[in-house]
Amino acid sequence: MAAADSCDGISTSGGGWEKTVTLVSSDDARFEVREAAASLSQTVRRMIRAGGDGGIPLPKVDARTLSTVLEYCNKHAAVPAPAPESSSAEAAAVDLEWFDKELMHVDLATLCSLIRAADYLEVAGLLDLTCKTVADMIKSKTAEEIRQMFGIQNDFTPEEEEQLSRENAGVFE
Amino acid sequence: MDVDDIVEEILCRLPPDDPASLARAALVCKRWYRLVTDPHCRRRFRRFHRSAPMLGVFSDGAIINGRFFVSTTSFRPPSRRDFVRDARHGRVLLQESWPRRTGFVGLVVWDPITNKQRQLPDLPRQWLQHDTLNWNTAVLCAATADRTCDHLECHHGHFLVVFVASTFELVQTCVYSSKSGAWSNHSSALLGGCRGVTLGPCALVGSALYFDTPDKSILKYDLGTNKMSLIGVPSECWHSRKVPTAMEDGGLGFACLDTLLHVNAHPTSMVVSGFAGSVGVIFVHTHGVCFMINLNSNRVTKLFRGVNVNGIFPYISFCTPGTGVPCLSVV
Repeated sequence: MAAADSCDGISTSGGGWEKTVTLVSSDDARFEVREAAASLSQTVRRMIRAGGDGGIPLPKVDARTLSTVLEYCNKHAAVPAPAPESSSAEAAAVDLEWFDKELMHVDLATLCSLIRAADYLEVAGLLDLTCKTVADMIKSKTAEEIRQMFGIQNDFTPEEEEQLSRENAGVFE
Repeated sequence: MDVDDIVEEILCRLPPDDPASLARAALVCKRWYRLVTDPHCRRRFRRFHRSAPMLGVFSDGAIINGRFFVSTTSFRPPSRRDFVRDARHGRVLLQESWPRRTGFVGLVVWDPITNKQRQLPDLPRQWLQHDTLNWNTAVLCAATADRTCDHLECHHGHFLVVFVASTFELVQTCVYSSKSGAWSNHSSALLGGCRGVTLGPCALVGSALYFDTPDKSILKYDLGTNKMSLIGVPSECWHSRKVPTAMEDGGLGFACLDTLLHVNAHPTSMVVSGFAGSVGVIFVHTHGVCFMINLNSNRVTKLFRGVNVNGIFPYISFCTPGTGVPCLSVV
């Protein structure tokens, strides 16, 4: 494997050495991250393998979004893999679920940026989490409420809208 | 990922057990409507969730207050007055309450989502002679026999209806195929000790159907070989109503209860009337009240009050806009 010049080593609190990489956002902010965490992104993983100078450029992700993505990656990469069914595994899962929930306490615009970033960076878990969060936000809403939420213009004619609503009324409560 | 891809990713994660949420999303704008009703998106939705939700239950008895279907979701099919005899792979098998010919069993296969139906031709006459003790019937996707379908989106494909009737120890079956539009595959067997089949839910395991009997056995009909046989049931099921069931591991099981519940000091017997292994619920009835018990949470839900309830048939299917709700040609 080609040694990536963007990889450095730092000591961890446990005294061991852990490889890090530097990620560069679209607005030139630099983030030094553990390689294990950054590698949750398949895009970054491929770039590490390819090697390069002066950090890994991520021109489609701004610093604010990247910082949240990395918060997710750091937390999820840090979770050890205890034996399934054990009480520690259960506690870790509960902790992770709580963390994910807290991380998703953001506005819709931020969520959409995170979806785009998760897709570009190929962080499957984050893509699922963000899309599920938006789905949960819209699942109980009426069409008009969803339009307002996303700023969408209703382009159905009143006749079309009435016909669709009538057909739905026959199938759903 | 463009905007359509993002919207599709989000819509895929709407809950399948609340089909109205996807229908409401389709009403947002023409772009969303096109996405939701696009066959590719519908397929993705089904593949993403993998197992179809239970939209509600049909009962073969009369439900007090005239309801034909008890919904456990936002789904409401049109009402009918026919008797429900089976429900599987998105289709419901009905026995006409007013048959075309007196003395004949008139069967109809109905899709409650599209409200489309197919009336089956008359059964072969010899099965409907006065000495026919009893019968049962089942509907299933036609690709079941060769196991080439995962039944996530076979609503509109061909189906089979299996009819089994018994005259003392002589048991006969025949199969209707929607592809040929006719009854065929007649077979009969003398099964010693068999007193017939009991009308009610049957189980499909692999390519075999299992029908309950009034004895300590169940009747197996193999679609692949067109052969019938009797299988003994565990002694735990000897003294109560048993419902053959397909288990999650792909094996055959039996749902039965032998518990006596004491309500107000009066012993009350409960009878199992249906089972849905894929969603982990069992249906029981007692004194005309039907309950649903979630086997994972032990939560008991009162479903309805009814009379002459023998079987409860869970309706397990995806309901996505574009299948039931006709598409607007202008959109």
